[in-house]
Amino acid sequence: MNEMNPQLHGAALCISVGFVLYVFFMVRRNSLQVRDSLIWFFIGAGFIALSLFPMILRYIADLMGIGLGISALFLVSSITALVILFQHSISISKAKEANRKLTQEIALLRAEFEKETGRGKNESSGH
Amino acid sequence: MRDFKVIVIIPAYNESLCIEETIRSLRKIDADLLVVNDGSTDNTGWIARRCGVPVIELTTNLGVGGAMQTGYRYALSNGYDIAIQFDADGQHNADYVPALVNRLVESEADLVIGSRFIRNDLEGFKSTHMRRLGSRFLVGLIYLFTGRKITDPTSGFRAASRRGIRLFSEIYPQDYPEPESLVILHNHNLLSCEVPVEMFERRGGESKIRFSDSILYMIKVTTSVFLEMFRGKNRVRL
Repeated sequence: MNEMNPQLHGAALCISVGFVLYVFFMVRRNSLQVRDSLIWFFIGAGFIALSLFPMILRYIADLMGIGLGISALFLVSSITALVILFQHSISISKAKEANRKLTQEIALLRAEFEKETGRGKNESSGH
Repeated sequence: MRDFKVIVIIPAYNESLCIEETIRSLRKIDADLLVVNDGSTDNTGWIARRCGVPVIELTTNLGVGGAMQTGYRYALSNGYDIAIQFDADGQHNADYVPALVNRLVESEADLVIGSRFIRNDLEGFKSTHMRRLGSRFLVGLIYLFTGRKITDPTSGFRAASRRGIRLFSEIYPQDYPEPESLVILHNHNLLSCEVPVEMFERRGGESKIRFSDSILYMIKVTTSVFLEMFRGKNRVRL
């Protein structure tokens, strides 16, 4: 069952390398911060390793005592996905908290500023 | 009432239909007013300014918790002794503000809640059957955790003392804050008590909690009250 056909082999490798390059470009464009990119580089490296040496999967499955290599892959990848998801939840909560503090601080400063200068926000506008 | 600096904080999100009426009803009260415009997409803020009330503009919608906390922070830095939370949607009756203030001044409590359910002889809007059932569940929950019977834990008509203001400036729950804030208060050894009030059925705007969301609301509130119990006591030095 471990004999992948060569086309599939090649395709898996191309996609994996493409993925790593994509992550790389996202970091270069500042769309992804370096610290957030590390996990994806690791995952990309894992993809590449698996497409070059599919027998790794067999080895891991044996280690885990799982009959099918593909089952081991599903298990490992879904656990990894859950961990990443959870970390994202934490990041979002932190970002929300930071956003709350910022919003409150700006609003309070603006109120103080308006009081000092006697200028109100869009006094003449309104619809 | 004049010996104390009192502020009425009105958190408002898209309340252009009622805000003016609400402000007008509060004119007779001997207190400063403050509208916290919670990132409204209508002209709520503009209307409030036109009425001559100071407005704090939040750039994004934080929800009633975040908006109210902004009000508490304003009250703290401007040296107010008593901060009253008052809904913009016309549910609350300004005539009861002095009752809240008087009780706060006379009692040991650091938070006085205006309760719809404490006296049944009072008329006024009591809320729907389902809501009352949910409310009763919350009463039990709060009693279980704090040992205090608060008959109207979801009431957003409340007055906080200087210590209450200081606490809520530091910690205030973000979504559906009223029940959870009672546990926060308890965790910091502050007391709350209630005075009977009458409320109106809301006139404009939309209820913050739709019927279909009420089950989800109960689950969320229960969880947050539960978790608050395990966050530990005295996180803020008062």
